[in-house]
Amino acid sequence: MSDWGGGQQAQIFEGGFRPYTGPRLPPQQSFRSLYTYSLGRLLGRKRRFRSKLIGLASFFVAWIQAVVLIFLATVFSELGDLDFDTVRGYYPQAGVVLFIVLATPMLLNTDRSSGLLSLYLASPLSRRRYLNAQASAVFTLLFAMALVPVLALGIVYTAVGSGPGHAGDFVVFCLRSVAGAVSLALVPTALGVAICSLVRRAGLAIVVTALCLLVLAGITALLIEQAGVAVEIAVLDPLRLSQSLAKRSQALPLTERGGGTLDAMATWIVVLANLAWAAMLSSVAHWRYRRLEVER
Amino acid sequence: MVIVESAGVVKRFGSATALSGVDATIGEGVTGLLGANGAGKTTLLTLVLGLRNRDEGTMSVLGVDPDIAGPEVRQRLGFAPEHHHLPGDMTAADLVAHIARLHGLPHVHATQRASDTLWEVGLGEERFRPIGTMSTGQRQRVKLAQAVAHHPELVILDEPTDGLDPMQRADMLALISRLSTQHGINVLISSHHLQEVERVCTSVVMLDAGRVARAGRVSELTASGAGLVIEVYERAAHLAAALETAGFTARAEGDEVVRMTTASPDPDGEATCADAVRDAVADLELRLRSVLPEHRSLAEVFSASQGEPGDPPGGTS
Repeated sequence: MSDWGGGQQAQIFEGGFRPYTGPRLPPQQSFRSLYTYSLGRLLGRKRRFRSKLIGLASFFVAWIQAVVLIFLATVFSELGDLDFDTVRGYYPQAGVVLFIVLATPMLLNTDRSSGLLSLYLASPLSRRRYLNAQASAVFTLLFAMALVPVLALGIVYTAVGSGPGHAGDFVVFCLRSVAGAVSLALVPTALGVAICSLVRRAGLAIVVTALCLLVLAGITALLIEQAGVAVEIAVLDPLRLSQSLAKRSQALPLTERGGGTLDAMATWIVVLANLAWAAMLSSVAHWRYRRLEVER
Repeated sequence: MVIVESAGVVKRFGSATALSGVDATIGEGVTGLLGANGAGKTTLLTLVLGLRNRDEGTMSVLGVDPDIAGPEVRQRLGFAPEHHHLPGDMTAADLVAHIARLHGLPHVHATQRASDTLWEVGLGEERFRPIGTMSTGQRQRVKLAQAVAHHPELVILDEPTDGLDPMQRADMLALISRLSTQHGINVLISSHHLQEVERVCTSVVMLDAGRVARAGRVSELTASGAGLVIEVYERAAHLAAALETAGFTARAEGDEVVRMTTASPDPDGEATCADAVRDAVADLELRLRSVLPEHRSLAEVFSASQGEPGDPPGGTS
């Protein structure tokens, strides 16, 4: 140590690689580490522009209509009462589909092709913990994608006098919105993760997911409308099924519009069908990851 | 201190038996895991990492059963895989810090350690470069850095010099050696390069068809039981004849060298031979230059160990 005058002392702190004696978190925290890291990756943090574009484009598609509605509500609120059902019926399903089709494979399949999965599985992460962390990250962003615009619209509409009249009603609206967002995010997350687990390449996973959604929607519609099959077959369309449950979460009037034939079904059937889809798809993903051969 | 201990470990995949009763003890320092393709090296590594459950036998890694507490074991281990695939759009610093966080280091510590480790492996200036733009040699260093950033008690390196040129190999081996000698990290290397293993490892475990064919300290394996090399200044043939008369196997190579095979591989056998050499040299009044245990290369030991039926399993210490 040298005295530089004025009582200040200069010290050299040696850096470099030395034995680590700092704190160590328990193995369970590896879930949280991967989860937070994957949230960033899904949004393109520290990734190429293409990866950033996918996440941002999904959120743009999901939220743009809400942004426009908020703008109109704040600028033209004096023109008359706004329809609050527009808020309660805000389902950003296009954004959800875009995210599931494009972003999920970029997370899960890239881990496999880039060799990162072998590093993950040599860490305290187990296969189950890895899959749960990744699925949780996808679910969290889909949940936020579905919830944020509805809540933002609800707050703005309430502020301009077109929302719930009482605080209690607003709380109920918020709770229903949360339930609706869970409904919109659950099955698509399970579907995306399951397909990514079955396919190695990200490009192929994108194609298979898109085809799967299109084919299931097309076939169920065709069977009901053209072949006259019982309307219960509509539960095979996972997107409409999750949308129907979200609609019921908001206690919207059930019409033939939007939910189609599913609206004619009892709520408990729709709930059970959603849970069955989620359970089946997550079982497929876990089964696949248990048997996955990881390159070493 | 025992790092890895296995007794009677059996691992089957359907009807195929990958490991058929592995008994091995891996101690401190740098240990090489050798074996031909299909000998069971990768299977053994996956058992050590707790990524698969064994079918029979017992195993402890750092005193813990990896079947029971896989995540706890893996938190104390580091692993660098054989493949060179790494996420191309990540920087080396991001990858190393991320893996360190997964191993339990808090965010700030992980970031600092990533930087320090990348400097240690010679990538200090390159640490913010995307891995996709790096050469194979640099990727090998990134793999090593992510394996040791959290300062594991044991680091497992699968073919750490694969794809490197001779200069890079020498650097990598020096780095591995330094990890053990300077930083106290125990190393288990799975490799096909026997010369490199011999150069850097203190002990080896040789697998053959799912069993331990040979195991021990490299110095013992390459020296013990092979024989003595005696150098004299003249009349080597006379010395060889005298040793033959005394009941040993010896042959002269030129006028100055005698190769003598020890009767038994134990230290007493070698000492008996040395006594016989002393007596013969004294009787013949020869001028002795040196008496050294004959050194076999690890490759010769390895070749001899492959396919030996009923070879008793051994261990290293």
